Amino acid sequence: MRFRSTMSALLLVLLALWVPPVLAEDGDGGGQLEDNLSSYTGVNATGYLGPLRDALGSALNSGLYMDGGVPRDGFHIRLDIRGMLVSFGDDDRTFRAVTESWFGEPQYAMAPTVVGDERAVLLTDEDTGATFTFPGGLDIDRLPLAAPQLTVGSILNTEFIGRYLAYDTDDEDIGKIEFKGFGARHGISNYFPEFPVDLSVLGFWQNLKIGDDLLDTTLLTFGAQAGRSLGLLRAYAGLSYDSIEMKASYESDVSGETEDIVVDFDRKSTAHLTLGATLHLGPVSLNGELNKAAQTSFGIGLGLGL
Amino acid sequence: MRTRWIGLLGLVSLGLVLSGDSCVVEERTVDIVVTANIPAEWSTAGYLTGGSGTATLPVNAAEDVEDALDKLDEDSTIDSVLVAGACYEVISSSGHNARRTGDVYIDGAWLLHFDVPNNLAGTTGDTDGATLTLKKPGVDLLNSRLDQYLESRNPSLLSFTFSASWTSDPAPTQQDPDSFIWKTCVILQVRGSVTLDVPNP
Repeated sequence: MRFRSTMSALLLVLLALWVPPVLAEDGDGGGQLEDNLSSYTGVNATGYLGPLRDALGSALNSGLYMDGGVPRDGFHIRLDIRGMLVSFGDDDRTFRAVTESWFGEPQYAMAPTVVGDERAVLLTDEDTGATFTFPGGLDIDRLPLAAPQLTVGSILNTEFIGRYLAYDTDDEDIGKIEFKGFGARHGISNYFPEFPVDLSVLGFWQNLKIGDDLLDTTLLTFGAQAGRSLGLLRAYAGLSYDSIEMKASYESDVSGETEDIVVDFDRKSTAHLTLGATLHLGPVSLNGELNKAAQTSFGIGLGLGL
Repeated sequence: MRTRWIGLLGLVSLGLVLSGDSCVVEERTVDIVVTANIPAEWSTAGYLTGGSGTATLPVNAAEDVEDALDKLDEDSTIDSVLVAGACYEVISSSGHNARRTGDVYIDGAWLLHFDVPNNLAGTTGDTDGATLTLKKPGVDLLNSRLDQYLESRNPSLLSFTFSASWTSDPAPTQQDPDSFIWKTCVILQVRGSVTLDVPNP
């Protein structure tokens, strides 16, 4: 069942690429998530996975910069490893689930999302005796993510940023997992030498793709950043407009026949506030950051550059 | 020297975030659900005065249930297998077209009622105007047998005789006889639990 593979791949991305030791220890976390989602189709799948979409949106649209400005000229290059920690709230732990069409008359229940309670919720129709089981979640409060990033500049007041990860799962259902992103920042304050703070604008596009069409997530962010140097420390703030689109395509065989199902998550757009500071020590940069978007996340980063 | 120490501190901090340290990974016992399907395929041909018909079908569901149990990991605990739904579908049709109303029984216990607007290929229990309703006597019987099966894994417990009766409106005739294959199914949900490690720093 390709839906099962989709969910396996999703957890594989979260755990294998961004939190490698978890996969190494368990090696099979994806299996449980895929099992749970195999009993869900469209509306329940979007509710169950919704917090993960929001977490990806908050975390991956973070850590794109380490200060408020862009050097006017001169070559610089920096490789960063950004670690993010996304916090889930109480609202993320449940969703209003509905019984699937094959159950009979639709009935509703508050069921765990993928980050919600471990226990399943059972709903029995007293008239028919049928029982629908909404599966449990992983019961997590926070999710750690990490991504590598390369920044190169400056050309015409502009620096260019790229992210890339590719991984072949050697699984014929899942295939290749590819994460890529690119964008640019343009220094605004360089045009105004007397301006009291560093100022820049940013546009960044990212795509996470699993297989040819199993899971396709696209993120886009546009924003402005301001910052100021305080000795070795540079403090900054950013405000951006983020959007994320996610689509999962899979096959389901619940009724005994294989059918193609496409779960299209609605595009979600949010304002994104960033507050951070970076300690620049020669080629090494140490960064801490707070992000408030659909979910709150904290990040640290280590950069090496020239 | 100072730069080197601060750089080292940064590497250690990042390592803590990305490491599989016990404070980052916690153990959870998660309820998992997989589905199973007990199909019954029926063939209807010819005509009967009044448009009514009956058929019986032997079904052994042990293999279907085992296939579902195999979807769970070996170290999973199986908590229950319960009837969760049903399906109806016309697989192929080349004869008389009519509204069909009928019932399916499992070992004589009423399991399913269907009322579908036609028997064109592709018609299902979700087709507009169709109703498909599980019935408690058959559901209770099947749930009881499934419970016993989980205890003993004796396949004979899941050997059933399915029977169906139906009425066609309008009725088929000698000049326009029935000729179609249709399927009913019972959908099961298997609930198990498994202990696994999850990231939760």
